[in-house]
Amino acid sequence: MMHYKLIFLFYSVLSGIHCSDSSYDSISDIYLEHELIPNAGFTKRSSILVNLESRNDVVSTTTINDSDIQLLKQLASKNELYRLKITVRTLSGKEIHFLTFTRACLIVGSKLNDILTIHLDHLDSPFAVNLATTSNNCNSFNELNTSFFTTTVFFRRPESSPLPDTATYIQKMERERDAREKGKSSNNKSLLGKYWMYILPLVIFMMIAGASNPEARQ
Amino acid sequence: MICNSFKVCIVLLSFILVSVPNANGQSESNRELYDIEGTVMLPNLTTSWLAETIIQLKGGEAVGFLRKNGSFLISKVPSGSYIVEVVNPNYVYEPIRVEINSKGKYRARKVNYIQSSHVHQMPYPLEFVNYMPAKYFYSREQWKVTDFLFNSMVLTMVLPLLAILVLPKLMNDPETKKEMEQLTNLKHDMPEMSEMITSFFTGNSPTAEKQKEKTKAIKSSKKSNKNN
Amino acid sequence: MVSKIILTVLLCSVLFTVNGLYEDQAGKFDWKQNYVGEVKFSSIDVDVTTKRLYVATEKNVVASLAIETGDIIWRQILEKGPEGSIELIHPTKSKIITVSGVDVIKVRGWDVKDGYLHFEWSTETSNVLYLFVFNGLLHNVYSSNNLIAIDTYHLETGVKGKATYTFPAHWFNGFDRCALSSGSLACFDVAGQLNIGSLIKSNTDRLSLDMIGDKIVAIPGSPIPAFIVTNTNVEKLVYVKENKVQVRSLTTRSSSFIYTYMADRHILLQISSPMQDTIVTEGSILEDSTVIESLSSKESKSSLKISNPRISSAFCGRSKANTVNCVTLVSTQDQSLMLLKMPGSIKWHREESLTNIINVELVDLPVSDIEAAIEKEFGNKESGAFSMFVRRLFSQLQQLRTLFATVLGIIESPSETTGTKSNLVRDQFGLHKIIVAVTSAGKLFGIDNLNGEILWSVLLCGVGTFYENKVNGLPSAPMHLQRNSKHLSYSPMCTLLLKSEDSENTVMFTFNPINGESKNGVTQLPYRVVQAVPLPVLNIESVRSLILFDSTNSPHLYPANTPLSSKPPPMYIYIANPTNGLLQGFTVDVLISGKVISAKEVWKTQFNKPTQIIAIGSRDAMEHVHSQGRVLSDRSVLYKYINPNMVAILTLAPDTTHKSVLTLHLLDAVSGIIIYSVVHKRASHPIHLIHSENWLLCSYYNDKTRRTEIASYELYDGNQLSNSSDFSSVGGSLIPPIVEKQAYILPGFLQAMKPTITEKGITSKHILMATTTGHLLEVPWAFLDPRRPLGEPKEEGAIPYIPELPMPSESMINYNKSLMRVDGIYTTPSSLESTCLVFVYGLDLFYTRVAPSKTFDVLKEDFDYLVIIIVTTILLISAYVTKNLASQKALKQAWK
Repeated sequence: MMHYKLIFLFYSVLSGIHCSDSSYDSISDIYLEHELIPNAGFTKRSSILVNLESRNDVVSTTTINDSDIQLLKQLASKNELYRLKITVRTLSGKEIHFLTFTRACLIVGSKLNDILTIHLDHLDSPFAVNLATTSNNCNSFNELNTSFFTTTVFFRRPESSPLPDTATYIQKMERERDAREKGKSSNNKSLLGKYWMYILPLVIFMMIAGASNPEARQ
Repeated sequence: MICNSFKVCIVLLSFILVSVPNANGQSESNRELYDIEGTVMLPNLTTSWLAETIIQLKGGEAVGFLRKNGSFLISKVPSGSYIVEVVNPNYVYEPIRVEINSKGKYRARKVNYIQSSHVHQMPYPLEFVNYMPAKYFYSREQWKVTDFLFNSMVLTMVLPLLAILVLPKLMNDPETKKEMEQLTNLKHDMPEMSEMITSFFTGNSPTAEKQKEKTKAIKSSKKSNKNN
Repeated sequence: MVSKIILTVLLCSVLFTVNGLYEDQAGKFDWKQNYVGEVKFSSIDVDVTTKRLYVATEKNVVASLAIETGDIIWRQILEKGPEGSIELIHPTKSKIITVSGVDVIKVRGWDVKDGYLHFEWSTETSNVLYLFVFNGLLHNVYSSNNLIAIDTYHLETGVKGKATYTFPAHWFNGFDRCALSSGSLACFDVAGQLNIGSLIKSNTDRLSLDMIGDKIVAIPGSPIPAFIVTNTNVEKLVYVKENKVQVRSLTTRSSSFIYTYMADRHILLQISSPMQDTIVTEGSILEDSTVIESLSSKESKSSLKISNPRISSAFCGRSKANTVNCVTLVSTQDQSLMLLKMPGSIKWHREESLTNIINVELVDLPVSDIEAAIEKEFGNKESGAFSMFVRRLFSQLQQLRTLFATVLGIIESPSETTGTKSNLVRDQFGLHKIIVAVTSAGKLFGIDNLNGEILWSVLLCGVGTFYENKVNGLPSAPMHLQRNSKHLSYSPMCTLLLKSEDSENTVMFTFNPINGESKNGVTQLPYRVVQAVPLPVLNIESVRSLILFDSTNSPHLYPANTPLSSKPPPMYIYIANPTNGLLQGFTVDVLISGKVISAKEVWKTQFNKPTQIIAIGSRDAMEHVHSQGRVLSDRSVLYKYINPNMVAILTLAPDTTHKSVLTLHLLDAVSGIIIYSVVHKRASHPIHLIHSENWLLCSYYNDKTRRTEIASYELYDGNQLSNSSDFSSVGGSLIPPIVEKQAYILPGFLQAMKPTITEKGITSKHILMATTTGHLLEVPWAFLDPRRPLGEPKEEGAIPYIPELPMPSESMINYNKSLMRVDGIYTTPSSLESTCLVFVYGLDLFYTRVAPSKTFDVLKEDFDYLVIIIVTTILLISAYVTKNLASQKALKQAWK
């Protein structure tokens, strides 16, 4: 189910992509820092290189040392929040800082598989980064056997606004007008031609009644 | 006719193409300002009406007021396309779109939000002629006897009631009584329809027989009445 | 049977009537109050036939008021904003002439009697310093090429007068150092001299005077050049008479006015208000300082709440007893307007600050004493059975007594009179409430919602001022109802967040919304609050505490250190900085003891530089969503995406190709996840946003198609109800909801937009739209539904798609009571599920109530009681008669 949903997400991401302007300040790389001990500050997790022109999603794996895994497990067992600091660097050297979080147990529960969604505005510069995990499982954090962070980076662009659908409406109106004109011509059929199915039973009934009545009168 | 409107379309298109960049350019440098004039037909030219009515340009970006003869002036607006509305609390007027191009040429047209390319030219200076009183209220449904009586529900209930009540009364009338008797007879005959049909098909005309049967039937019905 | 028929007939009529008003309903539950705004200029016309006042206001309104009552006789509203700002008025015999505008000066002459336009002319100018009228000529004083130039125009025709004449540029050195009065310009120069020169004719010399001052102001409407010079709290009156400068010391700090009285005598009128409820007037001859006894008065009125009165215009005359009488129009700093008779009293008083409402709340009234007694009786559970029985008897006795008293007319029944203190009790249907309004003039009002009567007012001078909203430049006044009227042992409590008068720190002003009383309700905070969020739980004093976020992002609780009734869940708070586009989310832990553990930043979003956050739309906290889904034509259910933490954020960014780009972001305020973003290109103001249930409406002016468009968005979870048990934003999936979208054309321009709200959310939603043509439109949500089908209907009852929204005049619920310059619409539920209360504010105040699905829970007011009574009595009588007849018949039958 989860997998299916992910594919759905992926498609929705792809569908949101338009042709991008070449003049904008493109993203070159993303630098990630996480907090493994509450309020103790951020430590480096990984750095992901991004090339927006060629591909739109990036999958990156980084190793994580054992002590950090232990800290992560501790964080998860205490049901703390896992905070992630993201620095997006552009080709011109501009740095934009973001912060996002999730529950630490989800990170462990999804076996260090996480998804970063970078939201780009209409000029393709980032304004938000969201973190999610591939699983909603928050129980099985003891059997963590991997030492790789697998990060998938998605880019989402805003959709364009709806426009009043005047064209379809005008077409519809024209169709209706045509239909009405056609209907007018068919209206010219006689009353009998149109309602014969009602008139016929009535006539038959009356005939029967008429046939029986004079009989009774006599 | 068709040819004509087509021409207008083309003219308008080119007008838009020309005017839009110009308007942009002008808003930055020294902009020419234009006055929009027109008249409003008022239901009655009393002075309180004049004071109540205002003319709004593009939702109130500029306003005009009515003079004693019903004319108005919206002064000093930059070139562009505007909706001109007459605002009166009691009457509704059709708005008009006014387009002033960068050369100061005016064009007034009917407002059509759905088909903006459709041009229906109006005279300039503007003339707000068509008005109608705004109907803000629904009229209350008056309780009328006729409405009540001709209601289908009432009819279906009252008519049988009438039949039940009036028909026995009619029975008292001797002639109708006779007729009724015949009718009830017929009713009694109904189950014997098959018999009737067979007799009909056999070609006999058993009137005498029938007569007897009738009297019998009446007697039996009377008996049954007494039993009741 | 007949009654059954009648019932069915009635039922049919209930079901099939359309929405709107009936003529006899007009004014029954709605009211409208007309205002003019804070008075800028005025003039008194004491002509016996007219007896009028003419005012020009800060709201760009020119109006005529009746001297006797203060009622508006006519009112004309000029252009909005600086284009229509009135720079001066000039009364003539038959016309009142206004000069308005900044770069384009428009001169209009209005008919004094009816207010229609006599003439209008306009001219383009720039760098205008002053405008004044002298001798029927409009003088335009402007700076050009290092000179002060003056153009003259004939006031009524606009014909340019004799050639432009000039004065040296050093005559004018800044608006704070100069003042213009009666055609004379007075300026301080660097050498500490006050120079006064007449601008009426060219080639005049300046009069000089050795004088040092901090501030110079002209006395408004003075017939001779007269100025008030302030120097370290000492005020001096400087005036020019017969080409000589005269100086007179003023004893009290007061507002002055000069009135020409007799040939060459002038009366100096002074007015001051040493206390909020007192007005002191003084009158003297300007030339020789002789005090006129008849003009000195002191008036105190407890209901009066004014600050810094100022005489706007005056008229004096000699009475039969040979004393001087004056009528003065007084405007105050709190924007009220009153007519003061000297000697005598205040004839009338108008609260014009109600044109500047910045925040409003409708507060429930407390229950009546009888009901309170009942509640108390059942609320007390500890006492024994006997004492409860005694109390029961006692309270029942009391109820009986009040019943008798009501029947005998000793006490008026509560429904008959409204407004008096004893009758401020909650009614059965929760329709009677109190409107608490905060105005930008720093005055708070309590208004009865049934008749619009002002019940109380409070001045905030000395308490605090307002912070300014950086995006629209308007003052902001966050108000929180911390305790409602349901808690019997406590009075309701409302808190207003104000800015301290002498620093950037915040002042909390706590008051009782029912009577405006504030007992030590002013709390000076040592920090500036940037966000205030109410806790989901109450504290032990039934107060809904507020989490205050200061500018260093540390949280505080207000009221502090009061234990809470239960432990609140972890709180998530977001802070938006509209100007730099920064959004931050924090988590805050509040302990049951009422202490706050410091906040932790959990997410941060940063919009790119020129982007401004122009609106944040969150759902009304009182809103309930009754139906979880929509039934489709194939009997399947489409579940609504209802995220209680979702907020809509509108950002506007200038763009090179599209002029401006409006982006709507849907953000989960807890997790910081952007749920959806959509871009509207070439969209410009007016922009309005509505967020309710699972849908959003965004209206904007489309510069490309040159029309107002409303984009409608609706969010669905799909065919399965996800997150059904309890919704959690944290760690929730990234799966976006299904967004249905559609756009509609609005044939008009919007001033404000708001959805209706009802208590349980069962009643269908309508959208109230205030258009620039002054109408308040009630549009059913079904018309704006993005799922309106283009072809075959997808579900039952769906209206086929039509791009243009209908604006039938029947759905204009304010009928011919036009509402111009609407600032906002406030909606609140009543206790009746069908009914929603509506308050519209702006230049005028309008109150009404709407029933979007008709009043299905009460009998309509046109319910024919008479028919039902007649029918039942007829039935009873006929039943009785027929019973008798039947028994008679049975008797006869038995005898046969």
